[in-house]
Amino acid sequence: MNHAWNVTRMHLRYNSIWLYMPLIVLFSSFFINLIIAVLSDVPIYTGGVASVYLFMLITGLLTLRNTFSFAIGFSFRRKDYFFGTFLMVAFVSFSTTVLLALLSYVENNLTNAWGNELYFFHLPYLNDGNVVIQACVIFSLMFHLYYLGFSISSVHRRFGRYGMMILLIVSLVAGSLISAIITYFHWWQIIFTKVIAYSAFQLSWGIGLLTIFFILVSYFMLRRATS
Amino acid sequence: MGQILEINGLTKAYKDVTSIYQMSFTLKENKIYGLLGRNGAGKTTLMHMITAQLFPTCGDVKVFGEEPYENTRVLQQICFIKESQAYPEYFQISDVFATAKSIYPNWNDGLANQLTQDFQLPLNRRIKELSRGMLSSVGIVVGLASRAPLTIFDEPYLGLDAVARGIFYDRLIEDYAEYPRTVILSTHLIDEVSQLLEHVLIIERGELLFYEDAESLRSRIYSVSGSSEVVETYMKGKEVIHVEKIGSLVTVTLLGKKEENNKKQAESLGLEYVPISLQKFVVDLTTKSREKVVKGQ
Amino acid sequence: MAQLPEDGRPIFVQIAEKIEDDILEGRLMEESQVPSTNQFASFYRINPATAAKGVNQLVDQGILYKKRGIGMFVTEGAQEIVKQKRRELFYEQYVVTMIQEAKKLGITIEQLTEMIQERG
Repeated sequence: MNHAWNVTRMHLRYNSIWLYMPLIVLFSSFFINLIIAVLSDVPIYTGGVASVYLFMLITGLLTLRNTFSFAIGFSFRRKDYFFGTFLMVAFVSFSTTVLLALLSYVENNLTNAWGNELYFFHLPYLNDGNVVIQACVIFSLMFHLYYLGFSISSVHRRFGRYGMMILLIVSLVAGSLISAIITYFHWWQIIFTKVIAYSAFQLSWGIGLLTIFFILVSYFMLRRATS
Repeated sequence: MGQILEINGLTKAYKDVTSIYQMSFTLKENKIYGLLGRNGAGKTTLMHMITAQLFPTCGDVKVFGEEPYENTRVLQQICFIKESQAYPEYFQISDVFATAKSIYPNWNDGLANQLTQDFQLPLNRRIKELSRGMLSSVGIVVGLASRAPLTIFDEPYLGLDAVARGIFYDRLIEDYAEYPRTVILSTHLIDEVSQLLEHVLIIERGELLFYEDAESLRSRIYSVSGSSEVVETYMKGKEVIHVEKIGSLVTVTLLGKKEENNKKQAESLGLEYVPISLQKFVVDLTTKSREKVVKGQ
Repeated sequence: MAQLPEDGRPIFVQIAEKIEDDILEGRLMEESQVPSTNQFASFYRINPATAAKGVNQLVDQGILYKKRGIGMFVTEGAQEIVKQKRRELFYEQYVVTMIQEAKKLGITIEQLTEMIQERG
């Protein structure tokens, strides 16, 4: 397992991408919004924080392309690559979560929306509840999006372009079928009200289950993937 | 001496081609092997299976007595340097070395530094900004400084000039002499390495055609030339690899038996006897094999 | 670095010959140390095992000897052994072939002797 840590260290050599880039994007978005907030009188609710989640998705999609062949070529086990990457993702998600939860607290409790009615880090619904609950939501969302990307690209690694086509077609067909059934039985209304009734925190558990599924998929894909 | 690699009935089949077919052989500890053959003969596929980067269709590979797949004990003793090695986009040369150091237990910083100087590698430059030759040098540094008990070089010197290749050979011999290990060299530049090889494996169309002591093979390969009737008489009962005709002059490449004195026999018939290089032999041999296939179709 | 010719003879034989030449021409004195097999290997860019084989052949013939833990040395009287060996080879390699070639070209033995005397 010692080599899993070496894989994490390998990822860390990418620190500009893993650590600084999302923060640069996040804070430039924040400061632009802050300037607008200072200049205008209306309250601003912005989804600038989404850039962090988007970053996780994209990084998840690109990690394998960047480092898998290299790691396998340099005698790392697939298992070590997987766990080393997991550690890296956990580390990035955790530290970002701490930062975001802290900023949400500062925004909501200390600065009264930065004194200019800018709602950037503390959004309704997503940031309901205390700081710990918010942290859980943020963390599970980040993890989820990373492994969504990672599992898709691991299918690509394992089965190539052909496999991706099949995956795409199957998910399209399945998606259309399900929505057709829901439409047929007029369930949309029911589902919508049910989901809304749950808090973001409660939903994060469901997302967590899905994340575990993605993680398992990518693990088994990578175990048989070739460089 | 111990066996470090054991391959048994190894086959790799794809949908429309079989790139390795029923291959079996063993390699011994601390020798330098030449893996020779043309592009597409299956060399790279074979090496990928030895290092568990590709999965065999059937048959098995044992390195140091164990399956290499997901086996840290085995994998960290194998260093496989290939021409097509991908590197992370933003890695600097120093990142590559640091990663190699983290996995190969015998990694030697002193040697890595010396080689970095020999090849004049800028440690802080990003991999994607390197020339083809520099990229090859990076692979060579990793391959030598890792001092892995099984070190595999697959066409390690694309883009390197003769001087740089010379440095590679010199450092390889020096370090190998001091820290013996098993080396597999796969290359097109057979003439340059033939004197380094202790054993030769020649692969063509996924099959192992020859596996022999390099010295013994070198002593058996030769060509004779003369007028066609005389050459034809001489050829009878001998293993002919290749025939070339220019006007009435015929030159044939042959594979003699060890105990025969081919030279005397040929010269007594008035034929010109010329020992040939391993490179010429491999070219003639694989040309023959491909011609056979074309004719057979 | 020196390149050995590709002449069909085993590399270890060529290495042994190189060392013999050095002894014969006085570049390697009797009782002096010879380079290690690894040095030979690097110098001629050959496999160290092949270099060792060449050196061991000379040990077997009493031309070199091993001092344990120190290295390989030229035997006292090695030059004489090499000379003797080469004289026998000389007859086979040069005299016999020369006469064969001379016959092909219609050069008589007398003419040949004359040529040699002129040169010498």
